[in-house]
Amino acid sequence: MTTSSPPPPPRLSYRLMHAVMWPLLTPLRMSCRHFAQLCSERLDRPLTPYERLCLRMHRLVCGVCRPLPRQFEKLHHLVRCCGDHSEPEDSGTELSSEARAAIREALQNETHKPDGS
Amino acid sequence: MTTITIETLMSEAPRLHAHALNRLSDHHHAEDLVQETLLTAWRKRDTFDGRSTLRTWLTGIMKFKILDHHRATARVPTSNPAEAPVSADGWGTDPMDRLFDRHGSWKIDPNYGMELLADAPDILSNRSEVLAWVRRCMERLPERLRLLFSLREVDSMAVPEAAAAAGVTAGSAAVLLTRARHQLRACLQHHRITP
Repeated sequence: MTTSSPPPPPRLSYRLMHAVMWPLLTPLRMSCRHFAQLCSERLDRPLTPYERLCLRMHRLVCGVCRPLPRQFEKLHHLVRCCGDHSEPEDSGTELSSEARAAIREALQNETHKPDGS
Repeated sequence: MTTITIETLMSEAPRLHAHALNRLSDHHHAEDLVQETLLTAWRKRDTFDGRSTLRTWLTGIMKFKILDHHRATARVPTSNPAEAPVSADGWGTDPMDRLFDRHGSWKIDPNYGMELLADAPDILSNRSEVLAWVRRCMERLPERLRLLFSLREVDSMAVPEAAAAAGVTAGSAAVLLTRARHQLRACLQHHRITP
């Protein structure tokens, strides 16, 4: 079941903490935005030691961001599943009878080639 | 030894067509790709030893055909991520600006409605409704971004190679991949897919 609704703002405790912490976190590239970027980039390249430190430090201080790395890994798994398991009804378009006939003919022609390859 | 006949290959054609359409979004290219895949399989039928299923074997052949297709039709690179077209549903060019304020803090609760991604991956992948929503949300990505993202995530292509095939510079690929992941995640969250 699905419901379409915009997500609410973060909890008050998060907003209060970040109102105090952002002057420290942002210059050090440890803000939630940087953390979210690094969670994605670690799937494409090895992170530098400083970036790994940023991830670790941010995870320590921010409970809201903590589930993010696992969420990205699961999203990656889901996207792979989508790409690998397509069912005919998913596409909404069927292979036309003309295309089927053409494919069958091409296969039969291949069979009748002299060298059989 | 498993015997492959034209009929067994033809019985897999609809599924291969769906797979090709899912990756190419072009009906005629998809049909051509099915034909090329089945012809290759037919020529190499003696090498099929039955250790994997016929479906898996054919999907593997098609995967290489899809990669060849993208390599052959590699687009002219653009270095500006902003050139990626804006999606029709108004998600904007950079979902990060919608998700974070100017100090880099979340504007929304990032975990709201994301129970979906708390399930074990093998359970998730068996839920066809979830997969259908992931597919729908991927279709909302701008075309170039979707191509880059699927080459990287589904085909595990190296970032520079995926960037070349999608027609973006390697330098902007990292930004675009991050953008795609966040856009996809935000789309799933927006629709709050629940069991």
